[in-house]
Amino acid sequence: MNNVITFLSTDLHPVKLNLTNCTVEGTSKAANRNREYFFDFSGHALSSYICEFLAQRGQNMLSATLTAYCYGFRRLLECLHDLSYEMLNAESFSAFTDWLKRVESRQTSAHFAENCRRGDGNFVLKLMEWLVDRNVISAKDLFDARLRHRKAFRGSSARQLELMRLRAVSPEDYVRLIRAIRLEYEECKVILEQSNRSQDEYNIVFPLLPFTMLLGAQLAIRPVEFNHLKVRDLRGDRLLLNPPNKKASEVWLPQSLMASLALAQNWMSRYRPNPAPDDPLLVCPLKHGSRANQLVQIDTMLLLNSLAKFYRKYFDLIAPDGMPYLYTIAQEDESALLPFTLSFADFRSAAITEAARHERNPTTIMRFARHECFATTLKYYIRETHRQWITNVATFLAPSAELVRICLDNKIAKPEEEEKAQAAGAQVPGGHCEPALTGDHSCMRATDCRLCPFFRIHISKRELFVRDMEDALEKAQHLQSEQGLIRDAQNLREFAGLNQAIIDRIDEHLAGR
Amino acid sequence: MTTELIHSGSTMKLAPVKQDNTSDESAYDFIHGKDYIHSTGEIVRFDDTSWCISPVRGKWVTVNFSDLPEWLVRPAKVTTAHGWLTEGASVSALLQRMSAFRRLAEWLRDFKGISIAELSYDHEMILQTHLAGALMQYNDTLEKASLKIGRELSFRESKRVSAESKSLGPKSISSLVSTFNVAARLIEEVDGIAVPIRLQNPRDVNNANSHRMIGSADPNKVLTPEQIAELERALGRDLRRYKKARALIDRELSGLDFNNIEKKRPNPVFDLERYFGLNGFREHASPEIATLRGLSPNGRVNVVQLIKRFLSKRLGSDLAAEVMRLRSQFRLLRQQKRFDELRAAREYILSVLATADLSYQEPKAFCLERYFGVHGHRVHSAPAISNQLGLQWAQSVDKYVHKGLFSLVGENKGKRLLAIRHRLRYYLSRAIKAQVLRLQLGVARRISAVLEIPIKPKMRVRMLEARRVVEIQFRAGKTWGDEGLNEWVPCVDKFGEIAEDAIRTAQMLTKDLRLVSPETTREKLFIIPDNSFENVVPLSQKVFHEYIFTNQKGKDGGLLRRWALGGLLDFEPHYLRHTHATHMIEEGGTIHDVAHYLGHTTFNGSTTMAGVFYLAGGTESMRQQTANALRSGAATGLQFDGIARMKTEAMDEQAKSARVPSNQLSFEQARQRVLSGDILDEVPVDSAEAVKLMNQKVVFNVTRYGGCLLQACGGHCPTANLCPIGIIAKGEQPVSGCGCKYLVLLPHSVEQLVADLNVMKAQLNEMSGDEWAGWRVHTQAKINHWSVLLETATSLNKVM
Repeated sequence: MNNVITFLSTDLHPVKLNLTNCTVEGTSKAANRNREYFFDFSGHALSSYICEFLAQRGQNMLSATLTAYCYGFRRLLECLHDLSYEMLNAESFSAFTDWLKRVESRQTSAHFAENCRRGDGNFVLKLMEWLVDRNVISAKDLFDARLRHRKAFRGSSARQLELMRLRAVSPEDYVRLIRAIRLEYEECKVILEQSNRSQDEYNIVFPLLPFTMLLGAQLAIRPVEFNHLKVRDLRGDRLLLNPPNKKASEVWLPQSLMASLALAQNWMSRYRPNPAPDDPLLVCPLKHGSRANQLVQIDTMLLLNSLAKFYRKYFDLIAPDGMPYLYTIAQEDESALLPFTLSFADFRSAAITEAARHERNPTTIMRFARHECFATTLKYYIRETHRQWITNVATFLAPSAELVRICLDNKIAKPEEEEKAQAAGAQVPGGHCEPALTGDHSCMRATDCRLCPFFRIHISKRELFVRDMEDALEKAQHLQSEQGLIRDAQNLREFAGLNQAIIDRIDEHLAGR
Repeated sequence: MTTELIHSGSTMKLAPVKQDNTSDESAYDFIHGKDYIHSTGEIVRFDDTSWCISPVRGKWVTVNFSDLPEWLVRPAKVTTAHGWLTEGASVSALLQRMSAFRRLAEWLRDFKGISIAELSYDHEMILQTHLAGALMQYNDTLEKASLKIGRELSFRESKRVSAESKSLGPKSISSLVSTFNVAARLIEEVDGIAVPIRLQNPRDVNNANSHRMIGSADPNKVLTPEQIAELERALGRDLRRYKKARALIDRELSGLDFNNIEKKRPNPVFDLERYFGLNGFREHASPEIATLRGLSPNGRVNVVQLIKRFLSKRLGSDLAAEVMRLRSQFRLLRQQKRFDELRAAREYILSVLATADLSYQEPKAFCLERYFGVHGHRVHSAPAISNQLGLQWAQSVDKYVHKGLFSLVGENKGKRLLAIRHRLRYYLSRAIKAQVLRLQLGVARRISAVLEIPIKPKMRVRMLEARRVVEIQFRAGKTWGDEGLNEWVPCVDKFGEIAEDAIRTAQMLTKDLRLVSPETTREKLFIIPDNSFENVVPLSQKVFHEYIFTNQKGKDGGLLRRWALGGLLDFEPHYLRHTHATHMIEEGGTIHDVAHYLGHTTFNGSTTMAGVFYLAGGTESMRQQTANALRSGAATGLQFDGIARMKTEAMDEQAKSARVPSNQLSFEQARQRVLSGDILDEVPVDSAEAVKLMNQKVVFNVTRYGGCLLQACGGHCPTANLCPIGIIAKGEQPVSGCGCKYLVLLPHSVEQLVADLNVMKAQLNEMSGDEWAGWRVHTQAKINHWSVLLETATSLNKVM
């Protein structure tokens, strides 16, 4: 009996399953790069079930999905070993969900992100469904496990959106980013004109970064589109984007991108003089690692490291204004400056958000983002910074906050205080100034005293407020209808509203409240 | 044949078991004794008469079957078990079913059978009659209430009227019917007994709610700044009342020396010090001490016995007896000149006494200090004090307090202080509840999130354009699952001050309560004393609602009635969210900003919620502004057509007689267009929907750039930006219809357009160089387009 099964994933990558040893091996594709994997699921009652499950379902999966399932099952088995569970049921599933929260990832030594935990839970639920079909576990267990999963991850999408919002790029950050790219472009141009030795000493990826970063930050190119760029996709000032999982589209390269592309091509001609049409658009020779001295494609995984170096470089460089060239302001402490941490994917949202700041037509923004539905653009890609949002809220809520303040703070003066104010010369229109009553005449306020928290209302001046209010309304009407001065009319109406609030306050006081 | 819930491992199953005919009572037992622990942590305790269900750990809910008639106990148990274990129903749903069973029992109180299977067609008729009567009563109640206030009741008002009159609403009737039918079905499935009857919903029960408006928002829920201030002042009064009571107690009692309380018993430490020669006193004989205390040396008061009794409490009776025996031998030892033994005995006694706590607290002073919480003590309840003193009865503490207080401050003042102390717990609770409402006033967050705020919430302050903004971190757990969602909520200027003050005040008020708070509630900010000062519970929404508006007739306990807040009699805390949302929109905020501010994070929900539930209809001023502009013909737009016109008509009868500009439709024309579906294609609304919207008086909102027809056409704003006025990309010339088709220009658009044009022109100047070529074309095209709009808007002002 042959216990080794070999099949192809839907993206045509071979998978080899050994049902006797409970192992899975093969290759998968991540960031357009082939990777080999090997998983050993042996040593548990569930091992054979997992392998059977993968043998049946894996043939309809992409290689990356299959790998994700394998990672999830490996973590499940680790958890079951740790907690001494023999079988998968509602209780052990619940324990697995909690265990994932506690443990740290082997690769990053950090706790698993919520979407990763949620994904693992979904994989295990799929396995449980399969086990129910084979009467290995009861339907009740599956039902309870689903309930637990739903409860544990309720609000997960909202939390992801909140996290994305925290990573939003402010307009100032965006300008700084573009400026740093420009600086890098200028520097690389100079390097290209220098000797070979200086070129060899320079970072091999940096001259390719202006074009790469502008693709994301100005044209909102997706990571998957970037990873699949070929030489033949470049057609004059047009770039064809044709990733396997998205619709093909064509973008127009503006002059800044054309210039940075020319720079990149110049740089690459040193090690790739005659590129073939099927070659990757951007390549560089690696100096270290398993692919040392090979020409490799610049993909988003490779970029992570280079971008970090780029951010650090321009964070350490100080601009003439005394600030680093490229920095962002910490969310928690606004006095702290931090280097950038944006990935290639973040450039896309930064670009779309920036487009939305300048362009009011949703259809245009949607087309720019190459989305089919504007909801997607709005939900995931247009991200205002927290500070911008706070400013909006402050602006829009300030008028009602001010009116509430007047109603609460402008206290009514007692009759004896009115007399005292008259004697002390502390009177102002409609009332008196409290510091002036105690001899402090240092106020330099230019606005109306009615807006000042130290203003005390005189009941005897009620008529003045009524008159002022009526005058203001009349004048506002006149200004708007006769002269079309709407802003002035609005100001006068606000002033009338202020007087009305004070009159109400007096009436309330007289009514004995 | 009956069933039993079998407890096997961690699962529970409904399984049939054979019924012993001789033991009828056992047929109703499901589980004997054991607690059932569900895999999600929920616990059920089963016994014959009641089940305790714990949906959340530490919070038990009891489902009581003892008040049901015999024939209904089994259906109720089966339905409850099925609902909880199989359907995963919430506890409140289970309790609702129990109340349905109670009502069934009440309606069939003459039924003497022992099983639901014995019900007949006559009983079905009785139940159906009751159901129809209940629905009729409900409709009558609403109609009366509607006539009383002279308008149709809103959805929430209907709910309130229905709750106050205790009549069954359509939903409850429907729920009762389904509960009975489910119970009958389960009994048939589980017990194998045929139940001959089923109930049906009375006619029209499904149509009773059909008149509900879109969302639940209406302009009455938007408070004016004056009303907010009025509310804030009323809340301040609740705090002041507590502070005043506390200050009075402190003023009257803190300055007094409680040692001056008239003592019936002498201080035993006085005797002890002298008898044993402690603290610098020489050794006295007991007759000497009696003389010092002004007693007869041979009188009835035996000093030695008093000292022995005092020591027994502190050293134990054996050791005290030993010490007293040694001390009584001193005289003999001296006489016999056995000084070594005398010294040894004395040293032994001193060493024993040095280890003991010989302080003596006068019981009256002890009780007074703790009962009133003065001299650095927290307020204690009488039973707690009696425990500390080792007294058998709490009444003894009352006696001590009364006597001590009367001797210190006199009877009249004492009675007043006692009355205040008696109310102190209520005052404190109200003051804490007031802080909840103040915080919500500042942040406009859901009350569930406000009540969950921790003792020391994360806060930060920043200045933005000369405005002080306080940001407070909230964790919305209920809505966003186990891991919750942390949100920084900004509070502007005065709202920030109020929110900060509410948090500080609540921390101060609950400081002493935390000393007796259990672990589970210690980290919550809003806790209140429960029954006494020795027990603490977290604030719940139910309690909080009663604080604001009591439903009990004749009781004057609610905040609104207590402080005669006439303008806010229909107020609910949730209105503060409507208030802030509407004020933001009125001042030019976008739907997206508001949605974020309200914490609506889901995209589709957010805009719908913010746009429809919170702002539907807008405020009076918004409607008026729109209506005036439309009536005078001053408003126009690319798609300004019948729907908007009809909205105006629905708002105001006078508008029908208004002059109709040549570029617009008359009311009848508009109606015809809508009814016959002759609407411009771009407006995504069908004719029936438009009429429905018109009947619901949904008007379009006045926005920063003019008017928005979206409210009229249904659907949320598809953009994150302010009223988009756009252009086609890549430098093409703008064409009619691009930009936002929902825009209606109003006269006040002028200033905004001018301002934005200036900004764009400035931007254009800065865009030099080739790399900006694309944007430059865009901006120039936009400037041209906006200039046209500006001309239109300026001409509108002339019309006006």
